Amino acid sequence: MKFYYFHLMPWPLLPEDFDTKYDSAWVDLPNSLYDPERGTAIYNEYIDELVAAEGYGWDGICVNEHHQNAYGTMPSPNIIAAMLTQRTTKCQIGIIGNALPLHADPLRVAEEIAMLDVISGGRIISGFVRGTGMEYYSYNVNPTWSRDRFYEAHDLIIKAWTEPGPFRWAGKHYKHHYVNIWPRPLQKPHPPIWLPGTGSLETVDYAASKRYPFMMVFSPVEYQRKAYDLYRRLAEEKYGYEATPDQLAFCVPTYVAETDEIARKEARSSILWLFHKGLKTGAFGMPPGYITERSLGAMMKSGAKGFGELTYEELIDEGYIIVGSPATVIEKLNYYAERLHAGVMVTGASWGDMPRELVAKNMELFSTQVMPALRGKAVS
Amino acid sequence: MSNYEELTLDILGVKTCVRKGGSGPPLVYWHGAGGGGAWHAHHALLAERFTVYAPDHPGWSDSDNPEWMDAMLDYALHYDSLFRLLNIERPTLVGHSLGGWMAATFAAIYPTRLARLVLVNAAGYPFITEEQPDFFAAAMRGGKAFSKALFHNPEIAKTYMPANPTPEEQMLRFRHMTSTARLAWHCWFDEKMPQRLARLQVPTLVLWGAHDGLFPPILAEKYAAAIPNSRLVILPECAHMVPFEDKEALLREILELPEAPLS
Repeated sequence: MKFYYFHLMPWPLLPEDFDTKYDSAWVDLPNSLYDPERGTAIYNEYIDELVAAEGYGWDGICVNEHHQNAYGTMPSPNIIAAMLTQRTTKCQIGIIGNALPLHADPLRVAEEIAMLDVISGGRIISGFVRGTGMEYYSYNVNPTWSRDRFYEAHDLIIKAWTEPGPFRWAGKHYKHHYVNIWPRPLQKPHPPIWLPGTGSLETVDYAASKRYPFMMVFSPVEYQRKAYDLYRRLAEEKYGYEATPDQLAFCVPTYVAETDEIARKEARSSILWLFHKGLKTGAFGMPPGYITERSLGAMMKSGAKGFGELTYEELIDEGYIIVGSPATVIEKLNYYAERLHAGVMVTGASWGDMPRELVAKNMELFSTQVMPALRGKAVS
Repeated sequence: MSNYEELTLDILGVKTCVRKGGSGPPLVYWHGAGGGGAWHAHHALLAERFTVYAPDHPGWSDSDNPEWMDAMLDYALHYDSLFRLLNIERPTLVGHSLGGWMAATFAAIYPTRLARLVLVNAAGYPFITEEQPDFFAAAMRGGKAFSKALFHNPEIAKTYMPANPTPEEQMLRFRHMTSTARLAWHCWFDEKMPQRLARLQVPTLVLWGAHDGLFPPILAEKYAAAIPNSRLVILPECAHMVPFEDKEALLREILELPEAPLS
């Protein structure tokens, strides 16, 4: 199993009355709640934490893109990734990912990822996402174009990376007389692509068709099992290959402490910050056309609860998060390795407004007590 | 309720459902973002004086859902084809809300095709005020605030806004909102609408509810000022859903409006 250390870089200093006063941590949460004076230290602590993960032997460190919110303050993940290229030497740097449809021009993403890949000596993982529903409000991008623009931007970027320029591009959303990016990426044929998602049939099928690693984000372990089963079945039956554990990734918040009891106690408020405050999206979560009618039907049928309705115990029991002693966490990860055939774990140590000393402890215990037990483990 | 028939037309491959009833000169009614799918009381009342054609826009209710139709021009051209197929000549064109934007667009493209133009709480004019809500967020949030933006009388609101929609109703609403977003997500107007409206020759009624919480009456004034031959009527007891709130006023004010002279 491989391990990637992920940071959302949340704004942890929400006011005491956030729960009652605000409907959402996104879109219209007043930015007067952001304090740039304190932001300096907070950003730099987060960056130090990612750098420290390399020292602890993680395979890679990851950042991602979010806009106009308190949940994740990296509107440009490529800027943070650029800093990480200068402060690390061996680990991969994952941008998981750039939100392609939100940007007027995907060539900018192609260029920036190519720059980072060359500068880092070929250590970049390039995740592509659509962006959350909330961000279609924040950037005023039409959500009914979301999938269409995602696929076209993807195709344009891959072609820009892999085929000699200049060439022309006449798509529905993007038109170019000269696609001719300088620099070209170092990795061949191009930096690895990851597709994070929540398991819709469309996305899993697309990932399987391209053989891209598919990463389930913040979902019940049962949904993860279904998505991986679907991926493996589509790979075999529709696309004619056998999916490997490297193609099945899971992003699951984890907290490790001396005992299960201590872990549950210490993680509680920060994990609930993440799911009940950071992921509070009010009216903005599901703009029209952001998902297909089929996905909406499946969602309504599943009766899945919103993040805000889930209790701490449900988050643990259903496998949205893993919290416990090293032995407990290892046991749960063995389930991923042995039963789900998933070989890429994306987690981290800093969740919500977790105090720095607990983040440090969580990182050390996970790195030294959990990772080694699964390191050499062959995922079947 | 008067009799009507349902026509299913193939307009260049786009199946379009039209409800037709009444007798007299032709009147075409274009519904708003949440509309379509029924022969409403205001259709029936108008049908006492007109032959009423009430299509479901493509993307709504019983018509096809062609994802390529994502601009007002697509709808204006679609309805030009429909008018020619049904031999609808010199109709009175009534457009409500999103349908009003569509009607203003049609009238600017075809300034001599209509007998009357009626814009009811119409979208489309390039002006926003700070008190206007973001329509899509407001609709998703729902509740009393959204209901109040639409209906001045809460009792009428209850009739048209079911408190507990069925899954089928929810799916249909999602489709209608998606079709609306294709046209109006970025903004609810065309920047060049004032220049286009200057082309209008048809007598035009700008009819508005005084309490419209989505498109405040300032927009009615802007529309009326930009249209050469227009009459502005503000209804003091209505909000956004004028055809549902006061259909008698709708018919009365239409009949007050002269027809365009034959050119």
